[in-house]
Amino acid sequence: MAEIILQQVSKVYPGGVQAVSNLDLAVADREFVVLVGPSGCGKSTTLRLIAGLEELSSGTIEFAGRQVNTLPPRDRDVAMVFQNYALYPHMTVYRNLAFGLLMRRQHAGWDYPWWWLLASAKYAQARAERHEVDRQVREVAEKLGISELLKRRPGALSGGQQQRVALGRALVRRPNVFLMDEPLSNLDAQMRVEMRAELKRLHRQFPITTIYVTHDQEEAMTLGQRVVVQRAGVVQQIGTPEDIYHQPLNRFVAGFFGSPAMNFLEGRLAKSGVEWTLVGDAYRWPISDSTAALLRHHADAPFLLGIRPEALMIDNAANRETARTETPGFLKGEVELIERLGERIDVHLVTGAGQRLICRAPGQSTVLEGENVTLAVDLRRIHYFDQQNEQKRITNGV
Amino acid sequence: MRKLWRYLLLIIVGVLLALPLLAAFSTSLQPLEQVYNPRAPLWPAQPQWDNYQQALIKLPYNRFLLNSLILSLLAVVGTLWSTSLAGYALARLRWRGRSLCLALVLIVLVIPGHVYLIPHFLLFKTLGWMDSYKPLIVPSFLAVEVFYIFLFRQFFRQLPSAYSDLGRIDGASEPQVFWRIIMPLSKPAIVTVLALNFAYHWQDFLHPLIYLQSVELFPLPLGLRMYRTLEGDWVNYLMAASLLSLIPAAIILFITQRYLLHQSTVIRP
Repeated sequence: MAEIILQQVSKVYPGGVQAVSNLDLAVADREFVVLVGPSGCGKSTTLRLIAGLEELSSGTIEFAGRQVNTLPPRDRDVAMVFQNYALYPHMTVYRNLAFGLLMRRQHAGWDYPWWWLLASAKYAQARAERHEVDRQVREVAEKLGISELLKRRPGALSGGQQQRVALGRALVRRPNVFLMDEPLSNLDAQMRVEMRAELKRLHRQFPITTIYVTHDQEEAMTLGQRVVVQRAGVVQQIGTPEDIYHQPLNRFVAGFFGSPAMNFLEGRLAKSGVEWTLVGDAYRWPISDSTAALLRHHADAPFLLGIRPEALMIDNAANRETARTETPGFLKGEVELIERLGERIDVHLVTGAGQRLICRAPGQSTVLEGENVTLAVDLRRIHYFDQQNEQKRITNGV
Repeated sequence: MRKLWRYLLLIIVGVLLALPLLAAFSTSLQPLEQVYNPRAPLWPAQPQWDNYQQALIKLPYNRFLLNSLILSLLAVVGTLWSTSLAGYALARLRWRGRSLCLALVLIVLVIPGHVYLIPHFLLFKTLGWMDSYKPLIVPSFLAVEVFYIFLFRQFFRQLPSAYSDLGRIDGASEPQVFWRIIMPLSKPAIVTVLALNFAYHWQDFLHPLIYLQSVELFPLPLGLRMYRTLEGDWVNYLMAASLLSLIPAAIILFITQRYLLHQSTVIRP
């Protein structure tokens, strides 16, 4: 068991590519942390740095208070699951599971032939170690439900079974740290959801500090106790899934999480009489004094409004009752496209000013493609982002 | 119909390729007087099967065969061992000067081997290795056959790096990663090198000719030449012995052909 502390960790590849820059991260003992971001954001590199497969350019990595910067992977006591599982095709499942254990045993490892062991009187010791390895392999196989597969080779297994073996191979060693590099991305959609739940159960059963890398925001939200959002080697936000979703620190995080993605509108502050209003190309909304005060520093430059699809409601005659909120703003648009997903529909709209928006509505909503509708906007749920200054969040609310 | 033409073409080409072998077989069954007779029938009236036995007795054929096996097998083991290691270093390990080394390998690849003949001769002469197997075997262990280095490098590069990464995490040292993970995954490359290299050493005439003087050290290619003696030209025995000498190489090729890498998979960068 170990807590992991990364301080000012950077990785620059020989070609000058900055894969990770100044990463600070503390992962608590037994915590499940997810690194998420688009491809090329440095999340896999971060994982490889922690595993010791890549050398740090600067910074320090500590496991349980012990600096491991220069330790080779074998001495860090980590286990890793790869995207393609990397099961050794020339070994049976049993051998695959036992490989890591045998490599760490002095005598039972495969470096000595049996006659050497006999001659050196270490045979009994080797046998005892083999028995111990055998017991551990069978125990883990039992827990993962792969006992019947032990004699098969990876080529003869289904994707889900291979996934289990890969997990088993990592678990059997009882490592300090568990690293997973997109372990679910080779599975089909249904299997992925199943394995996601399975991973959660496994983490409860074997509470090992886990760092999990994915590009899938849904996986990050459902699995992570905390989520680290990376982009181009730089951490954008670290927080619980709720934090990330409801309090995104910048436009990138806001746009990355949520499906369909957040809508963005340009807006600026205008004063009409003593009242402040929010003005855009196709709307003019009231705004509370406190929010206006926060936004006033940015009054010279336009800013971005982030509105999640579920904060938009279609306000036509049929839906009027459900569309009312306490703090509405209104916006006109034409329905361009409707995606029916059963219990809900995603409505794609174009505003009068030509901006595209997506709005989520209940499945029974009556709305037609080509229809002109009014959208009710829940003004309390708007996020405000700076246009400059790395598009940081200014505030959210009315 | 098109298939028929194709087969016909293949049969014709096949027969053309087999003609020298057939001629050798025919000659090996002729009595010595008939060997140079252009009117001798292709299939002798009285096939001299005894020629095969005579060929084995007239000269120490078995000794030549044993020498050839020892030389070829040792050289193949050396080549496999050394070129796979070199190929791994060039494909998978990161070290200063790697690109330069690879460039050197490629340069050596395009220089014809005969250029080195005299320098090598002088070197081995200085070392006092003449009339021994050392000049024929030791270089194999030093990865001089750079084509195989290149072949191994290309093969190793296309193996997913996750295998070796995982091995390292699982606690394997770098040699263990190589021997326990990379090599078992590289059977096609190993078999290809084995077959090509064995065939090369089996039929190598030039190098044994240069370095060996004692008859008891001669491998088959040198031994076969001795059937043309002062006593006369034993061409029929020569052909019989030659055909027999093909058998081990043919066996190796038959066993390995299933695993042989296709040219295109080797050369892919």
